[in-house]
Amino acid sequence: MSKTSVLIIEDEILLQDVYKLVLSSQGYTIYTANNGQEGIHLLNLYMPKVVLLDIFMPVMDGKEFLRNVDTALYPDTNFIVYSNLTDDGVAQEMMNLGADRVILKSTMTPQDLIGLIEEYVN
Amino acid sequence: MQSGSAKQPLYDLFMQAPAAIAVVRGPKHVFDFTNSLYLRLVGKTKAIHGKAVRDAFPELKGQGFYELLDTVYETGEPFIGNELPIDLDLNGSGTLTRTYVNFVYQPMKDAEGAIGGIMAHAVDVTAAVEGRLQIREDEERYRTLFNSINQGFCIIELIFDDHNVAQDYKFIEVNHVFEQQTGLKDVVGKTARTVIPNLEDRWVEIYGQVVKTGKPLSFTENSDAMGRWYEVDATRLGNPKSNCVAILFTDITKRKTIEDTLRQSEALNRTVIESLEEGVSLLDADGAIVSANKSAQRLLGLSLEQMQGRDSSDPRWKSVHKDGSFMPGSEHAPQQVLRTKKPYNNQTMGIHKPDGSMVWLNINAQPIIEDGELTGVVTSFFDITERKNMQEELERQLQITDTITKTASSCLFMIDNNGLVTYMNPAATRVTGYSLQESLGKPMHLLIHHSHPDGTPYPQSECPLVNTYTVGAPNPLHEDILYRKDGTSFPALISGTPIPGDVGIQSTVVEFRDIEEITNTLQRNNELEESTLLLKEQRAQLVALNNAKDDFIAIASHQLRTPATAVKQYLGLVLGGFTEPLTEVQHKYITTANDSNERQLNVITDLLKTAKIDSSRYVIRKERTPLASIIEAAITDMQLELDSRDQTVRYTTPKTPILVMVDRVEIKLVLINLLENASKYSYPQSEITVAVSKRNGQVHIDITDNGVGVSHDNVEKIFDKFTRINNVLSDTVTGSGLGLYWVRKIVRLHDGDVKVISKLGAGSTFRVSLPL
Repeated sequence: MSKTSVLIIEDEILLQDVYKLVLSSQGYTIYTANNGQEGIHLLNLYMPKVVLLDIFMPVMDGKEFLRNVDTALYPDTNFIVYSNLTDDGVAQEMMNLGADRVILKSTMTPQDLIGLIEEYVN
Repeated sequence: MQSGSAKQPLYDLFMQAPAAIAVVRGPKHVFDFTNSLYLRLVGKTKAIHGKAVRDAFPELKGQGFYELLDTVYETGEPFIGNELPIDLDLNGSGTLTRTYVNFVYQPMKDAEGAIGGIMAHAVDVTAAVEGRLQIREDEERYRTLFNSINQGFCIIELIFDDHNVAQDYKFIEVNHVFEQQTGLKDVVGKTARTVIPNLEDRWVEIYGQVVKTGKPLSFTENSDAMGRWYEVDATRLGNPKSNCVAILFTDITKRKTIEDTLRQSEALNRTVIESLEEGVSLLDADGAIVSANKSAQRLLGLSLEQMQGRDSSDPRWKSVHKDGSFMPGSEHAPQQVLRTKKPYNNQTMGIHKPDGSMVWLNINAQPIIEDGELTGVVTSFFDITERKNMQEELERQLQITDTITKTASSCLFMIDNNGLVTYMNPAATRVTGYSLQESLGKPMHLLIHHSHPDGTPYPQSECPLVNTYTVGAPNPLHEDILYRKDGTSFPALISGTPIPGDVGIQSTVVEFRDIEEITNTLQRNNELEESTLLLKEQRAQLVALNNAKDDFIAIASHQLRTPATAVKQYLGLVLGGFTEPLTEVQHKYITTANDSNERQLNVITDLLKTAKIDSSRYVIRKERTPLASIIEAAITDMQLELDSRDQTVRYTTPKTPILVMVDRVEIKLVLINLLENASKYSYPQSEITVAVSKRNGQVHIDITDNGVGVSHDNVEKIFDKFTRINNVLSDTVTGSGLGLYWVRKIVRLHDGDVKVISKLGAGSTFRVSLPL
């Protein structure tokens, strides 16, 4: 019985795998999408508790994803922008598009990620 | 005098007599007898009996009565006094009261004829005398008034017939002004119809009415019989039965005449004013329109009713100056007049009519001064819209012409019918070398066209340019040789155009261009165009490059980090216990790999930060922030690292908060960076001091350590990019060499600066100065 579900939208397979591994170990159900378009599909299918959203991705990037998703219609889902793009302007733009938080992923260890997800699940 | 019983009846008679009687005896006039009326009259009691008159009536001293008595006693002649005043002290208070008496001092003789005493016999006539005096006084006062008024005054008595209809009136009394005001003499006692034979019946009727009704009347009336106008107040005198009327009147004939004349001239003026083409309006002393003529209504597009009461301050005028700028009401001509009390003429003002069209007016305003007081303003104005439009059009044309000729690259000469120069433009000056001054009035042909291309003289009489007026047709564009002031010649494209005036051709415009110059210009233009294109291209490339650089920073931040992030995650899995336990050596190696990866991530971050502030897109977001909160946040963020070296920070919050205008995120990073350096380049267990001070409009934050310090030679280098100075701790300290470069750049973006004082081996103080 899984605690709850997390949707990872990330084009870098190495990172997808490690996040999946780390979060699965905590009992979360993990769905992965390689870009925003797949992300929207899975979001509507599973209504995850947390979405980890990268910005730079092919097909549909993180910005475009948020433009296409009215996050207000998903009150039970937390949208965390999890990216290596450090630009105050972009961060603000993502918040304006409905993100709950913007995090620089290069600063996060696996333990940190667990802590972050727990914050939103509880 | 008898004595004894024989006296008794006499005594009684005296006592009851209706007159005051007293008897005095002897030369001192000692009182022997007084009756009660006497005592009442003089205000005394019987106590005066036996007293001499001088003692009994001390108040009479100086009034002559003692002396009268003495005389009567001595001469034996009686004295009869008629209405004589006597001042008596009636109640013994010392206050004298005037009493008037008729009296007789009658000497009393004995048988031998000797005078034994005097009998005084008096009647009090005070009331009668005073009453009469009062009447006289009133009458005098009335007379004075009657004679002093300078209005005509008379009292008349109406004469009625048997049917009680007033027929005539009689003059009872007139004052001295009467004659002057009426021209009538000696009228008292005569009837009006006698002295004014053709007197209009209405005068008699009016006064008859006053008598009958008792109501005073005030009226203005003329009398043709007298040839005068009067202003009259008529009041019935005395009781209702009285037929008398008091009449106060003033001859106003003169005033009336003036008024009539004025009224006539006003009517005349109005007729004239109404027929004027000019608009005329009359304004009151407050500047509000009272009246305006037909032309004014037409010019302003307003009816008289719409205009009345409007003043200059009314925004509906929408008035403008000549140049079209808004003209406030205070500048309107009538307002100027109201302020200065002097005429204000020749104002040009534009007004928007209610229908939206604009009318231009020339306005004159005159003050109306009465008795030194300004009572109004008369404005007159006429429509100059057409004139102004024409003038403007003319000015515009002239300006255009002027601009064209001055800026034209063509050379222009204007010559009169004699071929003399009347104008040349700057281009002509530039090309020929002749100034306008030296050319004016000289024959143009001799200046620039004196020889044929082969050098032979070219007489002016043969020059078709100069002689266009004889032909009357333009001299078409052709090539010719012209000469400069310095004698050199040049090929020119030349034409002449005659300008028709009022009487035939008046002058000719000669236009020419230096063919070589045209060629050169064309070439130059082509070259210019080419180089402009090139510049534009280069600029576009530079912009694209700059944008690419900025884009690169963003992309690099992502792409450089991603592999290192993956490494971090996987090493994190191992180190975080997600796998089987590691041997000690494995753990050590993996940790080293992880540290190295962390360093790489930090370098990437520093590189990006540095690239970012060098980018054109970088902006700092300043807000007013308490400095202490930034410093405290920076120290808190550094706490773990400081603890790891067992170092402490000494910082005292300033007593009064200091507010700074900064990007608090960036300044916090600056302080963290400096604290990190202080910590890294100090030995464990040392102390770092943070001190804040204000001076010269700046706030200084000094971060002082007791660490390895920097040599004098290297002090400035540490702020350069990628500088790392070798020192005793270099081996243990990692860094990108970008930290201080970035720090100084950020502080300078805040209009502040970072300075360092350092001594090798003793420690450093980094001072961040920010404007207050």
